Amino acid sequence: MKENKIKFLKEGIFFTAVFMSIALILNLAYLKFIEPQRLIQKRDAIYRQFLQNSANRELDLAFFGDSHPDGDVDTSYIKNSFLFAQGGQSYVETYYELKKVLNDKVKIKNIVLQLDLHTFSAIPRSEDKLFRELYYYSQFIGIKDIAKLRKESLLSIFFQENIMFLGKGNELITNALIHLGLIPPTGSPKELSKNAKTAYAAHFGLNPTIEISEQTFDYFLNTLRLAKENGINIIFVKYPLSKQYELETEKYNLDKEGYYDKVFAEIDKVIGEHAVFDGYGIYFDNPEYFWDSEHLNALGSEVFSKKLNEYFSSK
Amino acid sequence: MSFNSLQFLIFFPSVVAIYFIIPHKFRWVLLLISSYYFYMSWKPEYVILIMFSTLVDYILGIQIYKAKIPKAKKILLSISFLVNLGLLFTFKYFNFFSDSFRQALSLFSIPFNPLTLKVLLPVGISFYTFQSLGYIIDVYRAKIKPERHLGIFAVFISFFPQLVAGPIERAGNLLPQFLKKQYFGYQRLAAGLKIMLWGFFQKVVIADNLAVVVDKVYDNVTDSTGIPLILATVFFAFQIFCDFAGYSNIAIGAAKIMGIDLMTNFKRPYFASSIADFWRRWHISLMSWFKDYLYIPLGGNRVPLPRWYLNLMVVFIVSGLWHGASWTFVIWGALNGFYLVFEAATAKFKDGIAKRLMLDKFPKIQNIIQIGITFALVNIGWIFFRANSLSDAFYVVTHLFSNISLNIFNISGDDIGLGWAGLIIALSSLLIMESVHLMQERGRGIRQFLSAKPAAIRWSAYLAAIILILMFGSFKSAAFIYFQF
Repeated sequence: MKENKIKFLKEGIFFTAVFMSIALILNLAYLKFIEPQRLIQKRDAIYRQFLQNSANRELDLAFFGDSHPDGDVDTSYIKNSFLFAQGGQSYVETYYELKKVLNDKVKIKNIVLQLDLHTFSAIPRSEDKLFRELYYYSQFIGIKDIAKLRKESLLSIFFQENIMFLGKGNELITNALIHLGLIPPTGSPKELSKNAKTAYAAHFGLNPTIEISEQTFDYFLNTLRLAKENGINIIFVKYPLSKQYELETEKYNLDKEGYYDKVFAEIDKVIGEHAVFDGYGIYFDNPEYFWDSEHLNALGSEVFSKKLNEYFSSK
Repeated sequence: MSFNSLQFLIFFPSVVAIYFIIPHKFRWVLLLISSYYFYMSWKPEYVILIMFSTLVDYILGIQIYKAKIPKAKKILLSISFLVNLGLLFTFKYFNFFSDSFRQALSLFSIPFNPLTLKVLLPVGISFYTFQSLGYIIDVYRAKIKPERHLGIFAVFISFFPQLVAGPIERAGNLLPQFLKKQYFGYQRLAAGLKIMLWGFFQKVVIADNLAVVVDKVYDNVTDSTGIPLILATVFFAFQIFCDFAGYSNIAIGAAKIMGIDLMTNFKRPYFASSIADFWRRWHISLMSWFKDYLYIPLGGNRVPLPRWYLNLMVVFIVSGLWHGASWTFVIWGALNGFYLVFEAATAKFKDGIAKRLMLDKFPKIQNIIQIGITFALVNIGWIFFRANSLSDAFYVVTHLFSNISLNIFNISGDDIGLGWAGLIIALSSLLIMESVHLMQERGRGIRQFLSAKPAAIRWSAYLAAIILILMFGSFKSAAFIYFQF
């Protein structure tokens, strides 16, 4: 019995030590080879370069939001602008991102905020989807706050933050396949009507109404207040969607007007008058501009960004 | 608390450590508290249901044993049936039957507004209800003596490793193990951990990755025809196996570490060469329960032929209903019953065909063909098991071979929701699992194979398995499919 316990302890400690060493090596390999390939890290590298090279750290326009601004806006066509948008970014993340930029003493004249139909929808903005880029966000948000916002235990966040290779094997293989030229780095364009169904379901389930995530909306209002306190002008943009997506919203009788009435009523309470660029239906007749039913392709992005630039220049 | 959660990673080692530190006479207290805590992490108030079932069957078990008159024993047994099945009916089947009744009346244009109970299905209710009923029937049949220690009996009903998804244990096997003093054993600990590791591999690496494809296709079935439907159906066959066998393995391994041996629940079911063989290998604890407590009391196969066929159909329809309160499960059960009846009725005819084709001279080829046919038939059954509705199931059945293209490379990894990397991982993991199963079919267990190797190789294999699980596992706390039953 005693011998058993001693053997267990000895072998257990040795096994754990070997496992920890392998885990450490894997973590380091992940940090060195995979993490820098992530889009958010690439964008952060550009941002750091901007901080280093820009003498006065001034930006005319800063874009925030999810994959819509991220994919639809090409800042090379918009003067003195920066894209802080990121796939899946919710207003909780936008708030912290803006706070970080302001802490870096960047002077922003205008922030461009996304105001799409799905922007506050509880389905894509559920707590468990927050801070998916945990390593990036944990560098400027305390893990206690992250745990609270994600409604997860501190221990769970700690594990996810520190065992970086956890559940990331697929990413490793994908990178290897891309590196070997076996799959394209950006995936393939989607059939619009088929994709519209998937996109609608991902945004609203199969519901005719948009259930607003309270947490997301609170942080949206916090973002507006933060901008106001720092004398930043706010411009809202509704990003372009395809005709197929629109047909899907009609099929479910999505209450678009009711949704925007609610949202604008709250915006009015915080900032009063505001500018909105409504790009929702401007490319209904241009399927050639779309990558899938809700995101523009390179051509669409160029056309749209030029249009945005005209709009901003006229303001 | 699910086995694949961080909570369990802390909970289980803590329970095991305390279990071996405290004296044997207090261990039932620890097991009972930890089992109730484990269960209460889902919906705390439902622990009352388990406590109630436990108390009722504890008292009735003793009273049945004490009763001198057979009629009194029968009455007490009926009370237990009424209470246990009553709870199961209320929480699991009431809404299904009242809605089906409404639909039946609506066919005759009779309006009926049924009462709908707004209750959530208590996790594992079908499992612990059957375990408790098995105990009562065994006491009634004088196969076992009733347990006089309420605490030990409560642990038997609620033992946390197998509480929510089995294996459904027999009192004759499990109860004496709680009474026996268990010592810490290195070999047993290592064996238990290896079984758990295999279970985690099945669940988080295979089942949860395949689930992405299955859910994408089956949640919008009308979007697909041909290959994606076939692929999703075959993937579901492996998903449900890995999900459930994975759970069973984790449960068996966890119990083993504490010195408790639970029964085997799966024996490589996709190597079955007939439907009857499949049901001897799939969810063994439930099927043996049905055999002992339903099929044999109905007369089993020692009755006239039509009655035997009827017995088979009854058992499988009830088994379908046990799985879920939905017509898709009833049809799944009926279909499997029909397979068995058909198999029995055509046994001689099939042998004749095999002889004519001279397959009897090539038993290996005959076996492979039989395995293939059985797998295909089981898959047709799984369509009804997985589909969200009967209309979805019929759509899948009628569109499996529509617009089929032999060039499966036309379908991208993105189309089926998993991406190429996920698909590669899922398929390679399946290959690993089936290779291990093939070894076991040939009489060589992977654990015996590894234990004959030098420590460096053994440890490398275990470390590789852990790293594989951590890297390629899906850790979104995906619930086990069988929790809903």
